Amino acid sequence: MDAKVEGIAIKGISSYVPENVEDNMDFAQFLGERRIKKQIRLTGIQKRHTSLKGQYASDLAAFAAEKLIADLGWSKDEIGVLILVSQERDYIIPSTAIAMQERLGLSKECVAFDINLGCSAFNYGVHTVATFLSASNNMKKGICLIADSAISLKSRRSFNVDAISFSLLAGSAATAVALEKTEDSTILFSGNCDGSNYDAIIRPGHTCDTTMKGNVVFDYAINDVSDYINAFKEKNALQEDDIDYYVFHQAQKLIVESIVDSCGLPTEKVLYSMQEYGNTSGASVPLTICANEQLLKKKEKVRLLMCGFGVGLSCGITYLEMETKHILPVGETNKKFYEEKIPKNKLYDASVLVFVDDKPSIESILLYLDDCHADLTLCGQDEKVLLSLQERLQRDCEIVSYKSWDDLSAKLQGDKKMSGIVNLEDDTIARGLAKSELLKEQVSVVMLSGDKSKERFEEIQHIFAETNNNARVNLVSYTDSSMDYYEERNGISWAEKFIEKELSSDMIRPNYILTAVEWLLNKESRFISGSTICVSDKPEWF
Amino acid sequence: MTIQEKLSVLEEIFELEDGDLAEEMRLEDIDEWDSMSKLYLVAHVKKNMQKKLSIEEIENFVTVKDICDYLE
Repeated sequence: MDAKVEGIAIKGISSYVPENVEDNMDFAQFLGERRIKKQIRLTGIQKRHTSLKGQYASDLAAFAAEKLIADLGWSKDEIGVLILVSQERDYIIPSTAIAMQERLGLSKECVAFDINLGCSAFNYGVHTVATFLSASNNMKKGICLIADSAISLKSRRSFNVDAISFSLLAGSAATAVALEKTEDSTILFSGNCDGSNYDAIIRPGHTCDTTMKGNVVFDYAINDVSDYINAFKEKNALQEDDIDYYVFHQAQKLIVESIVDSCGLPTEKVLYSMQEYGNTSGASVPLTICANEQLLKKKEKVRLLMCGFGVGLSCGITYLEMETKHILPVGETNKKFYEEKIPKNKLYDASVLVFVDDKPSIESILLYLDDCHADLTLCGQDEKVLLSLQERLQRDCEIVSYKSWDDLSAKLQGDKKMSGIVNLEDDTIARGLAKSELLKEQVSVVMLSGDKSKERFEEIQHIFAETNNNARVNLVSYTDSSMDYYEERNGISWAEKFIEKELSSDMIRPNYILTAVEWLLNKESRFISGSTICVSDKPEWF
Repeated sequence: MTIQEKLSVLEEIFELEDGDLAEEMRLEDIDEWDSMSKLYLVAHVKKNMQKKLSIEEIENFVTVKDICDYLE
C-alpha cells in the first residue's frame, strides 16, 4: 500500500535507553573470543543498553515523551492522539497507551491505543498518527511512542537455547515522535507485509522466549526490502538529490550494508547507531536519528528516507522533510516512570517460608521465587549463609536463624501467615508447623528431593495428614547433578554458565524444577496434593 | 575466478588464514562454517554475482568444492 499525507510534519523526536550497558565482548570468555569478535564485526553490535528488572518499555517511552513535550513547549491539552507501537506492552488487556494518557497527564479528549509491530513500527506509527490528525477538525498535535525492551542477559534466570543469539543483538529503547498539522508538508508512506513468514520471528505465548529464523529474516531483508526501497524511490520519482540521509532499521550491520549495496546508495548518507545501542526493534529508526542529532542539526531541515523491516514479516518506508531543532540527544535512565499498582505475578501475594540447607537447588529456587515477587522468609541454622542469600535477592526478605522448633516458632510469631513452605525436611519442625497458627488454610508444602528416596516425603505427608488436613504436600524430585549448573562459583552466574556449557540441553532441566516449585506454590495447583513431579531422565525412580 | 581465488574468498568469509581451506574439505568439519558465515556468503553472492543464494541451496552444500562450483 502506498499513501501520502499532506499538511502534517514531524516536529521533534526524543529517545531514551536504559543506563545499564552490556558489552558483547564480555561474553568472549564463554562463547570464545574469536567467535564473539566475528559476531561483533559482522553484526556491528558491540554494546547494548538493556533493561534491569522492573523497568518497562513504557517507562522509557514516558521519559522520552515528557522530555519532548517540554522541549517543544506544547501544552498537554493540545495533544489529540497518543499511539504506542510496541511488542512489550505493560498489559495483555488493556492498551498500555490508554494507561499512559493518564501517566503523562494528557486530556481525556486524546485518543490512545496500542499497535503491535516491531522493526517496522516507526513507519506505521507515524503514518497512523498523521492520518488521524489529517482527518481531525479539532486536534492538531499527536504523539507516536515506539518502545521495546530487552532484559539484561545477566539478570535472566531461565533460558532457551535460541534466545541467546537473539539476546546478543537486542537492546532496549523507546522514542517519542511529535507530529503536528503544518502547511506545505508531506509524508510519503509505503508498507508491505508477508504473512507466509509470520513465524520467522515469533513469541507464541506470554511465557515463551522469542525465537528467530535468522536466515529467513536475512533473506527478506537483503532481497525483498531492497526491492521495496527501489520501487518506492521510483514511484515517487525521488532522485538522490532529494534525500539527505537514509535511516534504516538497525537489524545488524551485515543486513544494512547489504541493503545499501543492493540499492546502490551512497554510503556516506546512511546513518547508524547499532554499534552503541544494538538492534532496538521498532525504536531503532528514530533512535538512530537522535543518536546522529549533532550531524543532522548542521542543517535546519533534513529530508529523510526511512525504512523499518523485520518481525511480521513487515516493512514500512517513509519519506519526509523535518526541522532538526527538536531532535533531542539520546537520554539514559534506569528509573521507572510509573510505580506499578497491579500485581502481575501469581506469587505476588504468596508468603513463602523456605528452609535453607546445603541442597544445590536452594539458591536458584530462592532467586527464582524472588523474581516471581514472592514474599520470602528464609530459615536456617547458619545465620551467615542466610545473610549472604538475603543480600543476593532483589526484594526484601526476612531471615530467621534457629536452633530448635521452639526457637523458630518464637521468632516467626507475627501477623504474617505462610501460604507456602519449601524444602521442609525436619520431622519436629513439620509437627510444630502443622499444628501452629502460622499457616494459611491450604498451605502448600513443597518438598525437594535430590537423589534420595521418597520415604521422607511420605513421613511429612503423614504428619500433615494427622494434624492439618487442609495442607497440601507435594514433592519435586530430581537428581542433584542436574542442579550443579545452578551453583554460582567465583561470581559466574547461571546465564554465563549456560553459555559456557555451549547451551547444553541438560541445563534446561533446572528450569523445569523452578517452574514446578512455582506452580505448586500458586493457586493454579490448589487441588493438587500428594503428588510427585519428577524432573529427571531416570523414570526407574518410581 | 580461479579455484585459488574462490578459496581465498571463502577463507575471508570463514575468517581463516591463507591456505587453510582445501576443496575436498567437508563443511561439517569446519567450525567456522556457522550461521554468520552462511549469511556472509549470501551477502557476498548477492553483491558480487547479483544472484539470490537460498538457504536450501546452502544446506545442500557438503564440501568446500560445492561452494566453489557455485561461485562464478
